[in-house]
Amino acid sequence: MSETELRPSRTGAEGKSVAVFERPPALIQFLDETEEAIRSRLAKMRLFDRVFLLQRDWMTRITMLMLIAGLVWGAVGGFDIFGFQTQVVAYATQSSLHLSTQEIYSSITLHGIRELFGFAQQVEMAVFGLLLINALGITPRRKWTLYLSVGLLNASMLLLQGPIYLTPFNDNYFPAIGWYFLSPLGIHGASAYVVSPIFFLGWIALAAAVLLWAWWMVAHVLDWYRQHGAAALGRRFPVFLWFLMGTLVLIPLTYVPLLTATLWDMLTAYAGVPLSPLANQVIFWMFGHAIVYVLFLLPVVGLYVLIPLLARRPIYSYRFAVASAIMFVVLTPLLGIHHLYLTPLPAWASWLTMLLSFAIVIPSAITFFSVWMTLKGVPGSQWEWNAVALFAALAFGGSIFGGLTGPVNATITTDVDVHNTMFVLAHFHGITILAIVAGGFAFLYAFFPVLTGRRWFSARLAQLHFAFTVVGGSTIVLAMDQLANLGVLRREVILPIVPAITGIQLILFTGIIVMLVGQLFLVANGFLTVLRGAIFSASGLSFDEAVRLAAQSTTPASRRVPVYDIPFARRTSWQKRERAEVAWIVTVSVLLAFAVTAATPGGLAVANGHTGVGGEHPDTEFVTLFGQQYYWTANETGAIHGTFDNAIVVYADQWLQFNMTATGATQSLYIPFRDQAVVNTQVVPGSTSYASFQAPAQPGVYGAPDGEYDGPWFGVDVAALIVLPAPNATGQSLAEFRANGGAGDIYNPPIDPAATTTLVSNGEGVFNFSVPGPTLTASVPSSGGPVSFTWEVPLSSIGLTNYLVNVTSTATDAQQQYVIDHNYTLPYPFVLQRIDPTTGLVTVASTPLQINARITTTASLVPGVYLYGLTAPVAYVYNPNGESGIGSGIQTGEVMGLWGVLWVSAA
Amino acid sequence: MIARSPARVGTRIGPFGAFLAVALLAAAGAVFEISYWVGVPALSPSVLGTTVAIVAALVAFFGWGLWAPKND
Repeated sequence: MSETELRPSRTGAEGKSVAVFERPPALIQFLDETEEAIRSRLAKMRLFDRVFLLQRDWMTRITMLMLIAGLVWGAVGGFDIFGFQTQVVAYATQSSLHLSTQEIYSSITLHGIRELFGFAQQVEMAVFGLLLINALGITPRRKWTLYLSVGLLNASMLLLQGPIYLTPFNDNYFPAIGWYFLSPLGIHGASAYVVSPIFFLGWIALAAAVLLWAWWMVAHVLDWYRQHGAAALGRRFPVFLWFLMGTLVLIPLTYVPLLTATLWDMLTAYAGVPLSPLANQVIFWMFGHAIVYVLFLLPVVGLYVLIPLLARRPIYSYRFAVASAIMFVVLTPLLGIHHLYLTPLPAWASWLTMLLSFAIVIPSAITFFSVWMTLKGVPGSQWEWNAVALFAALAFGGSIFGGLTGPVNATITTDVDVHNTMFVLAHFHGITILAIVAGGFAFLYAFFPVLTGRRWFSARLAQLHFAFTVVGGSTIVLAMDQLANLGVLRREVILPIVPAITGIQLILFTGIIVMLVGQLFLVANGFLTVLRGAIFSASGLSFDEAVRLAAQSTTPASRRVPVYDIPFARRTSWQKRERAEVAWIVTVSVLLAFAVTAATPGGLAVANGHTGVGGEHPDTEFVTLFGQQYYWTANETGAIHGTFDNAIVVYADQWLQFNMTATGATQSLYIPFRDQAVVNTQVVPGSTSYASFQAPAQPGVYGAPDGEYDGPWFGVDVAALIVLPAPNATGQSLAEFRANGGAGDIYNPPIDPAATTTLVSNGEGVFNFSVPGPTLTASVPSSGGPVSFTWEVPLSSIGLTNYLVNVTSTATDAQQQYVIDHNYTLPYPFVLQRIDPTTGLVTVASTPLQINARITTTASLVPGVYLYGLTAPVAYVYNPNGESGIGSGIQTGEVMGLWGVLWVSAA
Repeated sequence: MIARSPARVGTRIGPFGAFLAVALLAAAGAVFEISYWVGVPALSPSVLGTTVAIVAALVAFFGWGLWAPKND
């Protein structure tokens, strides 16, 4: 009797005989049997069987599930931004918004979360898991660990939506905090905008999911090592395996800081633990930066796997490729502070991060040179332009296109110009769409037939998918860049109504539509493939030949090349090849050193939260600026004395020196001049920031929006830099300001004559779609004279998107009914106030805010500068039916939008 | 199905030349994006050093790439 016959056994879930003493724990057994019961029932339905590959092994099934779930989150995230951009276009064309401010900013938040993590991170996990198992040639184990990781990741996407359990469903409780959540925004007790704890639990679940997956991968590497022992280490691993290992090192370095920052936020919110927002942000950005490189390794691995495979040549220089992998891993965790250049961090920390941010160009430079050189000498007759090759080329080009704007962001002095603007979005959408997503699609087209056993159904659909992705993605990036040139901030819906902005927003919207439509071709092709695709068989083929054959199903028949491996005999020595690599990298290093050297003096002047030239100047205006949700308070001493809300008052050419603090959320003093240096400083609660600059020479009203997202009323959080004529030039008109373009600041309010302009409030509680409202002009004799202007707050403008009336009910007409019940009057004084340089604001006229009446305000005024409207913020609370609370979310704030400047010059 | 006749298939432009074209297009796009900041006098000093380095690096990339020996 053999040893096998003596050993009692049972049949396991996979149909294999398992010895009794190797029986899994009872829980695992139960799970296995439950899974098998569900699988076998669903497998009887053709659609489920084909789509989810229910007849295949568990590793194939879970990989397919991850790819499908990833694509679903990618699609949902794509439609999120479609929703956001419809509101941007609506506002730009002066139409009504149908989403509340909270819904709008939730759309952006969930767009970022779903695309980065639900889609890109999950697809990367699926692809890297498949590659690792196949590369090491080991049997995948610990099924339920991987299942748990995938379940947690997808559950985290649901948690991150917040309290969707509310009935009736109220999507205003989706988190409007941004995918990168800078403390103290969202934290109960520390911010006027509070998210549900479910949001933070979602981040914890996400971190747990990815860390668990990384452990699952490491466990398999250790299994392989135990099987093969030390001899295995002498092998030359494929290049991509070095990058996979690097990813496994980076993941804890990435997600543990996320866990730390999130847990600290929760302990502050729910246990009163003290918070240092700046320290918390430093920890968060260790995650926030590292994650984009973790995801960037998807197209990098794609190029190192697919280019040699398609070219049938080994990588140009193995040693340089490995060096690149090691450099990515070493440098990536060290760059977080380049997101915090404009905060009060020490100058040396910012400078060092700039140096390292330039250094990480080197592994990218190695990679793209090596990949390109791998193709040198490959004849056209051996190269096939299938979808894998097309998307690999796109990932290659997209990495260059998106990547080259990285050093611009990384230069501290240039970051002053572009921080928080659409330039940042152009950079990272260039990388995400044209590199990361492209790399993911290259893998998808390569491995889908291998996984499903079906050849791609339509080469034409694959080509259309590629074309639409290129056109849509490029349009999106270039449109964002053009908005950046104008100085437009990210995350804004309430933008200046300027033809250039409107036109570019329409182009951006078109790009988004083209991109989304393009993905429908992929979805259609995927479904048709699993349901009607021809059988794919890799029998008798090597792995490389199988992938080429799989990719070939996306090539028209007339353009196919043989898929067989071609014996390769190395003729050019590695010394000669590496000479070129060395020459290239030495050149890059010299140029990087030059760039860092050139950027150092300016960079050191910017750091420590201090922007501008600084130094002592006579007649400096000292401003203590305090930022809160959603306005600034400026206390001024110097030539001008006074306290102003959302206004900074200064004489022409006068130097300003700011001490800035904030509460509730990070603020940013941002003035996008084009005739002089941009002002851009981050003000982090708990720290003090500084700025100094010289006011423009032209008297006028300059727009100064808050540059950093601070909650749902971010768009209305716009101050004015009011530059007065010199004391001996009182009465100067705005003619020169208008002729000189207002120093190029795109946020300057429009200038309209008081006598013929009617100010009409819109649904967002601002006059004539402008915040501050239009600068009204009038002229009077030097001794004074009558000035009139007309304004109106229509009843129809009162609603969910308007802060003037609190939300206490989910009934759509409740706010208007409140106004009607209170005799069409709201208890906020609509004032006319003169700016007196020695005392501040002097009230000339005041009347309660009348709704639904066209009112003409008339006053006898002397030449000077006045504020009109609600010049004090309005307290706002969103709390329908008492639903708001620590569990669901809280939205309060003080909002100031219905105001502007009246400029009275001497006739 | 595996293609039968190599003589009828493939592409005239090899992948090296095609990827060169892609890189040129990508580089042109990036330089276009950055060029705005160089063109604004008040802002250009801050970006000049980095821009010069980027353009020089692109020239070096294509130059060394064309000079380098084939991958054979």
